[in-house]
Amino acid sequence: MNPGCATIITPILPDRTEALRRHLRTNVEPHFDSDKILKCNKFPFNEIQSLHFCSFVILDADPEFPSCLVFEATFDGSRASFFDALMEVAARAMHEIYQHCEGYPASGLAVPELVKQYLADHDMRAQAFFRGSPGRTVAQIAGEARIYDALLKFVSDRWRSSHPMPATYVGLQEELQRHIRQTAANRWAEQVAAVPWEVAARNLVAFAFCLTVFVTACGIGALILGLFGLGISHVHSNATTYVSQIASFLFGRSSFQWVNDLSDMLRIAAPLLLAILLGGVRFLQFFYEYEDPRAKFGRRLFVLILTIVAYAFLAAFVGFALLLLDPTSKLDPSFATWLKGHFNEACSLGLLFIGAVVVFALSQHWMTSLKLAVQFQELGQKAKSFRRLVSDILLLCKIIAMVAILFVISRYVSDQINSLLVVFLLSLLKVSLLLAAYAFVGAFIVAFAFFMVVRIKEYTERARFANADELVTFNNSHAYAREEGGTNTYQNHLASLTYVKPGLVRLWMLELTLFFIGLSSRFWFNAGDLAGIPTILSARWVVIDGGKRLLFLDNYGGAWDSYLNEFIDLDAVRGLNAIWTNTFIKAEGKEYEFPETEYYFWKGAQVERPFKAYVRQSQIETIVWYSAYPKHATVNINTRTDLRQSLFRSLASCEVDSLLQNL
Amino acid sequence: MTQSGKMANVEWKDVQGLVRSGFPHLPHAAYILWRFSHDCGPQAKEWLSDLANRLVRVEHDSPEADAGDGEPHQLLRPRSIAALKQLIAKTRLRGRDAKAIQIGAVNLALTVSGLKALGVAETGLSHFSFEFREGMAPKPAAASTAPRRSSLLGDIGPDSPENWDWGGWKDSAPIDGVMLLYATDETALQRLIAHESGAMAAAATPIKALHGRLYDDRKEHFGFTDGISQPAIEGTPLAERMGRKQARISVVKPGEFVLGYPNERGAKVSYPMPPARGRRNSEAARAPARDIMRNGTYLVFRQLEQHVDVFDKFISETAKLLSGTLDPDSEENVVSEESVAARLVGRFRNGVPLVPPLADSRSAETDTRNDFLYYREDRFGLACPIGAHIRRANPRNALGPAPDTALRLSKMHRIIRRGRIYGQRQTADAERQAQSGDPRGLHFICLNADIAGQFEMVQHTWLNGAHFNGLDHETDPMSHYRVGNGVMTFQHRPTNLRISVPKLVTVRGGAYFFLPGIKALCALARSEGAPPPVEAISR
Repeated sequence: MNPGCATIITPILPDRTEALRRHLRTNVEPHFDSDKILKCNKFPFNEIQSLHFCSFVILDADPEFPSCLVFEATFDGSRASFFDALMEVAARAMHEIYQHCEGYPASGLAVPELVKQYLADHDMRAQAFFRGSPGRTVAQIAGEARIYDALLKFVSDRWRSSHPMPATYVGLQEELQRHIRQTAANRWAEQVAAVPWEVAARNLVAFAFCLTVFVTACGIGALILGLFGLGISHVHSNATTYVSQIASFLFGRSSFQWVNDLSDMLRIAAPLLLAILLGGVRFLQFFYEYEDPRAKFGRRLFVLILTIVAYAFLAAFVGFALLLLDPTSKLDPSFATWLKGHFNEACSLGLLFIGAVVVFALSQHWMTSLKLAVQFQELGQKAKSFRRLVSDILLLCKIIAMVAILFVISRYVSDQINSLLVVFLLSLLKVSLLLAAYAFVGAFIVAFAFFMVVRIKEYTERARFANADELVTFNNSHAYAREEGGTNTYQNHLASLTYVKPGLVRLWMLELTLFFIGLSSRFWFNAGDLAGIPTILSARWVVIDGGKRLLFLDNYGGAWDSYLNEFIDLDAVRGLNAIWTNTFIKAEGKEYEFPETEYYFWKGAQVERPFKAYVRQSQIETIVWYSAYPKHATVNINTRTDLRQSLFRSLASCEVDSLLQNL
Repeated sequence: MTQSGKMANVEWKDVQGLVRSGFPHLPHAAYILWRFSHDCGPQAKEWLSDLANRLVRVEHDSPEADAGDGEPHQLLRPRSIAALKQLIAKTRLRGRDAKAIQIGAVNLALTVSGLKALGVAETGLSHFSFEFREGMAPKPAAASTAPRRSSLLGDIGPDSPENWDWGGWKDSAPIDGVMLLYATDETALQRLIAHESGAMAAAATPIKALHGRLYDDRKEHFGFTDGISQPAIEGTPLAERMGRKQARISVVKPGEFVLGYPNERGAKVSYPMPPARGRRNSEAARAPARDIMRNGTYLVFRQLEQHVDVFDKFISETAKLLSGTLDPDSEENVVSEESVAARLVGRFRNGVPLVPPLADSRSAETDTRNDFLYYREDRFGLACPIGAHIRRANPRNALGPAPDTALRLSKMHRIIRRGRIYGQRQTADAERQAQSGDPRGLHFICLNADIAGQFEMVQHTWLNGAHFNGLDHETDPMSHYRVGNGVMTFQHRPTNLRISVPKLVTVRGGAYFFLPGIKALCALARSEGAPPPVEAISR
């Protein structure tokens, strides 16, 4: 169900490149006629029912590599069935093109099997492939467009007709349903569309992925710490000793009386102290929060550290509260016995507890009203900070309440249950702390190693390559003179060829990045946008020539400039940087690297002009481009599917309203 | 959210006055398109350096020597905006009895062929934006396909440059520049034109003189009050005066409009490029003597003819059609033409926006406001349609993953508009029939530092975008480029209304100009025909 992709790269026979280019341009390329319908020339693309998009690009000859023809296709079903359809419909047209290519079987016209084999042998697939509207066949997209037009016509005529409008939204929905069911050709719309499993299981896959990462990090952490003698078995058996050592260091007896008095006070006030510290960290965060992704690296790092510290305080607070429960722990015997002896004081503490409940209720009210208010108006910076402060107070109140309740219950419950409860809670605490520590260490070590390697690479490459700033004055307009014109009025095609930076490290990083992008495109970004960019119809990255060059082929909607602006200004710039920082281009005899990144993900494409100049220089002309639905944008395709899906479900009034707002 | 980084100090003494003021006190305007007469000899250089002294800048050093006593027959030429305002104030003080003081102002802009004629070599020109170098209407390579620029701007079919009065494919020779003249009244304008044409006679020939007019009510031909929403450059008195909410929406960094200063992305567009960190600065080491891009800006000029009779007919028919639908509260159950017209643009013709003020706001519903946002006040377009003109031209916080991000992004695509209308204004119903044949329209002039990212982005992706903000297949009703049947959706409950809007605007001419800084113009004028210092880089 999920569309497949094929990227067939074939070397061209020497001296046949220009002839092939001319042939493709004059005979193969489809054109818009006066009614703005895409008409195919000698190559009947529109007769291949399963083809979404395809394009032909010629990679010019290079000192290192011969010239190649790239045939990129996005289709439904398996590759074999696509090739079957291709040979059935366009065998002659394919022959006329591929006879210019090396290795093409001369008897291909007579024996289609040979051609299919040839194409399959040269298919490079794609390292990463993104689809804007996955899970929909060409027929489904065309059909949903027809349904949409029918509904549109019905609705736009409806208010002009003399029939009174139905009294309820549901009545209107029924009218729409009747209208669709009337036409026999439209009744298929009532069936629920098949949703590919990757889309249905999106959250599950994400959870599984996070779990895998967590377990891997724990494993690495345990291995590394095991080298220092702090492996799992050792820590497990000695956990209690460690904790009591830390605890007695923090809260134990000392020879100085003032220290003891201080630590007594601290013990009682410890929760309050931790709460104040947490509030202080949050307060600092308010001042240093940044909105602009171009904020300086130091500031970003500082805010990140503050966040980690805040959570650490919270965890410490929770842990301390839990430890407080244990009457048998060597941690704080004096406090428990103190309580048993001073019941009256405990009652006044109980009154304080009731006061805390009142504070809790007030904070909850404040919090809810702020949550509602933010839907209706902008909150100023002060109001946003206040809201965060209040939510923290709430959290603390909840924790205090939980602990106090457990504390009180544990005093009146029999000792056996008490100790069971305590043992359970303490084990839970120990295990989670342990896992967190291992995961943290593992993740930190891996990230540290990765960023160090990347930074070293960035520094050493600076001397070798020229800066992309100089590309701003170059002119590569012949490669994109046909954008936004001719067939590319509504959708555009971008073909970009870059060289992979030399060295195994760079190649592996590129492959790894493409692997993760491919994975996330398949399982996470399958709802229509790639990290917030809604205009891509299909995009693929292919590493060719044995890891020496990177080919990027992209079908997108809108103009080139606004498309790249979306990348530069939103979060997706990090993914872009991660891929392209491993590449360089050659222009006028020099080698220019991608605008410098900082630590692989940051800066890079955010410098607008050198980045755009780099992409322009790397662009190659798209000679032939075909789309089965050239006038549609990803957003519209997805909206229409949702419309059709929800039309035949039972909906509430507000849902029907939002359905109608799309028409 | 306050912007990061400190404010840049713009050298306003070097920037031409059009950037900061549309000269509202000089309501009569003429735009003279000219080209150099012959090989750009010393006469041309002399003319330009002489003219550079007369150009109105934003600020000026020396006290105004030519303020004069205000003799009634003297044509005064203030050199800064402040001096201009002083003169106007003097006129007002004198009262209606005294003869009005005649004041004139001039600004100059050049095209890429003008720069080439002045001797700027390829290396220097290559730093200018690619769109400026190609021009607004590059000649097509093949007969069948429109060039990229024309497709991008929607200049195809009846708006194609082959039909343009100027700046299109019918022109025998390219335009080298435009002189923008502003004056207090018609006689002053004629005197100014005569004076400047006389000065220009030896060096350049005028190709076409276009006239522009700014009326007191600021209305354009369709009846809409124009020029309400303009961005304010950070650090200027206008920006400082704005309230907090308005400032958040309208204050933009200077680099978006003046080259050589940081823009909203923190980058500077200038030549030479600032050196990359840690690199040996090979470019800047051999820098030219004068950066001709600094303190300049790009000026986009498009002549848009407006079909007023078509517009009038359309709104009256649509008002009848929609009776009973748009204004159910109205007593006669009749939809006024004002409502229909307002839905097309997003503001009523008197300037009041459709987006209602917030409950806690102090402004009334009848104020000409500009401090509204869309995300929380009208997200679904029920007050102001999603495809309405002002919503497309400046989406504020409606277009993006989150409202704050969207507002920040929209500031990267603002333009300063300085256009004026031409042609007879229709004053009363009775005169409509008689005057409907005369050409009338708008000389659309806008200033920006990045043509592709600002003007072309707004025109192509927002105004001409058929899928703007999730709409299905419709473009701006005020744009010349129509798709489908020119349908526009008015968001409404329970169902949307789809109205077919006819073509209201046709493009009649246009070009991309560069409005240089004063010192840059002097540097261009100083070059003696031998390679000027501007491009003294030997590779």
